[in-house]
Order: sequence, then structure tokens, then C-alpha cells
Amino acid sequence: MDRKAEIGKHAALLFVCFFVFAPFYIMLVVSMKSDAQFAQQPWSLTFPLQWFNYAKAWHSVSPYIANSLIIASVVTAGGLFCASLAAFAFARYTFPGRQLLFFIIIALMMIPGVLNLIPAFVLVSKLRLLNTRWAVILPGIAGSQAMAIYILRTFFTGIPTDLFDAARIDGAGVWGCYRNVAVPMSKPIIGTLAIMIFVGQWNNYLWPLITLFDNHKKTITIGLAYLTGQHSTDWGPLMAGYVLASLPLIVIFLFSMKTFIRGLATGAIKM
Amino acid sequence: MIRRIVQARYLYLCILPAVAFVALFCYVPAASGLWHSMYEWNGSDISIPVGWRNFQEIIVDPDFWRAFRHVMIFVAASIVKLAPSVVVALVLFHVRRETAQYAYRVIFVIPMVIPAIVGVLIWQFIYNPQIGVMNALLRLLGHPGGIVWLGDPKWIIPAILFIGFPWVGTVGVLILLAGLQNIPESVFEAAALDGVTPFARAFRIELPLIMRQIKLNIVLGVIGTLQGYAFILLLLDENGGTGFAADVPGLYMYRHAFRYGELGYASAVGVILFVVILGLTIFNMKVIKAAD
Repeated sequence: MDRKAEIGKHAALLFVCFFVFAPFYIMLVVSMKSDAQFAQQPWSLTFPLQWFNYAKAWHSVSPYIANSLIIASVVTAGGLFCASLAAFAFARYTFPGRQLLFFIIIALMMIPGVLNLIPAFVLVSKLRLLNTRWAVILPGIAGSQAMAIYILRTFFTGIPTDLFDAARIDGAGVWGCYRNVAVPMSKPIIGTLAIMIFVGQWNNYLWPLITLFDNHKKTITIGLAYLTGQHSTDWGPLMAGYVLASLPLIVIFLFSMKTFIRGLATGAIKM
Repeated sequence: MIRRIVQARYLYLCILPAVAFVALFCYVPAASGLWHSMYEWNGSDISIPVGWRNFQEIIVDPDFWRAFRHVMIFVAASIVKLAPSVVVALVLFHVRRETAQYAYRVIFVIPMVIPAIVGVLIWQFIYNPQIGVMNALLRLLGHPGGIVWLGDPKWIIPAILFIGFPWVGTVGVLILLAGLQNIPESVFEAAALDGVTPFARAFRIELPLIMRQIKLNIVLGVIGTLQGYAFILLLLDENGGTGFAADVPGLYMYRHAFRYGELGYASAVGVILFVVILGLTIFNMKVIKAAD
């Protein structure tokens, strides 16, 4: 009886897995086909595998990937630096206006992106940032603050006070406590937030679409949409390009899968 | 007071970057959006106050209401589509072997490494009328003509709703699973002593105890869907496809801003969506959270 129930559960989960992965299977299989192979046998592997598709795709998507890497890295680093510093001050000190300033930042979660889109576009164009990376980077950093500060403040508050007292006796100031105690104690949560911010930027579509015009400045999302329109019959290289666009995320997850799953599992991101 | 502020000067320095970013790139645009919703505005030289005219025009525009009806369909679907994630989390929670459970968790995270836009573009390929899987399946079932999924107005919304089948959101599953794992062991022991069946356990114990996570997922999903339009723009066009078949308010706003250059009118659409979303957020905090 128990055995049967277990098998039933696995069957159900594997059934779901099949559908979750079917699209990615199609992407991988088609990415290694020539036009003729695709016409004859579209949905299963055909030999020889056309690895050349990847070389062709790399040629067209690598500049977009580079742009996205730069933008997403700067947003992640800048966003986490500002957020952790502010969260640290909010968590460990009292000063006039603390509640109000914290509320001002957190209340942002109530303002939907749809209200900001158009005026933010006008703002970056008045700042003469349109069609530069800064047009995506600066609003990206701003957009990451509310959630990151909220989560980090909760985490910093939970660090034992003794550790900070010990650092203070050793002569550490605000910066010393931040750098030598708060940040090292919070690496897992900072790592999880870094992934969330980076992935968010990697997936960002609308904002780069309206702020970046030159083809050589476009990010990977805009690049893929553009290439899909241009080469809509060259399926092999196009799918290879889709795979390549996922590479940076694959690398990040390979290195941080455990932290991330644990971070989610322990409810670090409860909100 | 002033002495305390001076004493805390380094703390203000810590907060300054975050506050400066937020003020300039979030609050200034939000204020500008509210302000300019009362203006005829093109973003540069034209800025004429028109009072409530933008709002009056929007609420009598049948195009806006059509878009609103469509988004209501998507919102309702976003709630229904949460069910598979809940079921998967429940089943996953009861997988006995720790290693197997961990393996499934890893497997469910893998789709996250595929950028969302790639997922959508693959579905576009699946829907391709000549070479897509969907029409290949139809041909197998004896329907040789096939369907132009993303071109035929009557099929556009169903096709978009079907994207991502079976709608198991990976992060959603993990958050729900975390909620289940936080249920104290004693609850299950007591249930086992009473001889509760698995179904009763799911409906009487587990679901009620993870309601908080489920509600959070619903609220976030509804808010995201109400203002979302990026993937419709990507899959179809700025009209939401042939005959505005999948036009939504966000897209309506986008069109008025970036095609017609009516930035004030578009800001007013943004304000309407903001008010609806704010209402939902407050409803969530006051009514749903209070019920916990």
C-alpha cells in the first residue's frame, strides 16, 4: 500500500517534469539541426550534430550577452552595496528619522512599475542618459532597493549583539562593524539576493527596449527578440542562440544552487 | 536634537546612496506621473493642464474597456494556474526519501536558468503554424489544416493562457514547500494518531496552514498580471495581436505613450492602474492579513 502510494507520487512528479522540460528539450534538439535535418526529423536528435550552429549563434548573440553581463553585474553590485549599507544602519542603530526614512524606502513596494514607466523614461531622457547603459543601470539599482533593504534589515537585526560589541572594543566604527561583522555574517542571504537581482536584470525586457536604440548597445532580451524577427527560418542557429543566452544563468546556478535552494527553503525570502 | 543628528552623521551617510537612488528614480517619476496625468504632455515642450479630461476620455474609450476585460481574464487565469504549483508542493512534501526530494527540488529550479524571454520565444516556436509542435499534434489527430495560434483572433487569448503548461512555477513551489516544512511535526503526529486519511490531511491541515504563502502568491500574481504586457508585446505586437485580440491596459498605455506621443493620457492610464493595484494591496493588508 505504502509502496504503491510512493510510486504514484513519483509518477505524478515525473509527469509534471516531462511537460516542464519539453520546451527546453525542443530548444536543445533543434539547436543542433541543419535545415534539411529539421525538415525531415524535427523532434528527435539527428546526426551529425550541427555544432557549427553554436559558432554561428555566438557570433550574433555574444555582443548582446556582453552588454547584459555588464549591466546586470553593475546593478547587482551597486544595488547590494547601497542596500546593505542602508539596511545595516536601519538594523543596528537608532537616529532621528530612522522610522520615516525606512518607511519611505519600503513604501516603494506599493508603487507599481506601470505608474513609473513613462515619467521615468522622460526623466532619463532629460538627464541625457537615453541610449546609454546608465539608462538601465541607475533605475535598476533604484528598483532593487526596497526588497533588498527589507530582507537585509531583518537579517542584520538577527545577528548577535556581542559580535558588534567585540568589534567596537577593538576600535571598529560604523564602517568597521559593517565590513567586518555584518557583511561576512550574511554571505548566504547576500548571495541569494545577488542571484535574484542578477536574474531580474537578465530577464529585463521592456525598459531596455524603450531606452536603448543602437543595436550594439542592446541587451540579450532585446537582441533575441530582434534576431527572432530577422532569422525566423534559420531555426538551428536561432535555438543555439537561445541556449547561449541562458549560459550565464546556468553558470551562476551551478555555483550557487545549494545556497539558493537552502535560502528559499529556510524561508529567508518570506516577505 | 541637532546634536543627535550630527552624532549620527555617518549613519546618514550610509543611508544616503539608497535614499538618493530611490528618490530620484522612483519617487520623482511617480510624482511626475501623478502630476502629468492632468496634463496634455509630450515629454518636452508641450505641457498644458487639462484637469480631469484624460481620465474622462479613458473611461469612455471602448478600447480601454476591451483591454480591461482581457486583463481580467488573465488575472482570473493567474489564480487558477496556481493550483498545479500547490499540488506539486503537496506531493513533493510527502515524498519519503530525502535524497529523492532534494533531487526534485533541484530539477524544479533548473527552468529558472532559462531566461523567461527564451521560454516565451520557444512557445512562439511551438505555436508556429507551419512547423510548430501544436499543429503537428493537430495533424496527428486528423486536423490537417492547423490553426494560426497567434494570428487568429479567436485563438490568441487561449494560446497565451496555455503558455507555460502545466504552470508549475518553480520558485512558487519552493516557497510553498518551505511553508509546509515549517508546520510543526507534532501536528502530523496528532493527525496520524487520529487516523486521518491523506486527503483529509491535505485539505484540513496542510492547505489551511500554508494559506499565507498561497495568498501571497495570489496577490503577487494578480498585481503582476494587472500591469504586465511585456510578453504580449513580444509575442504579438503593440496592438495585442490581430484585431486587438489580446490588448491589455498596460499595452494600451504603452501605445498611447510611445506611438501616439500622448504621454499625459498614458500617465493617466498608469494612475488608474496604480489606484486599482493600491486598492488590492490595501485590501490584502487589511482584510486578508487580518483574517490570519
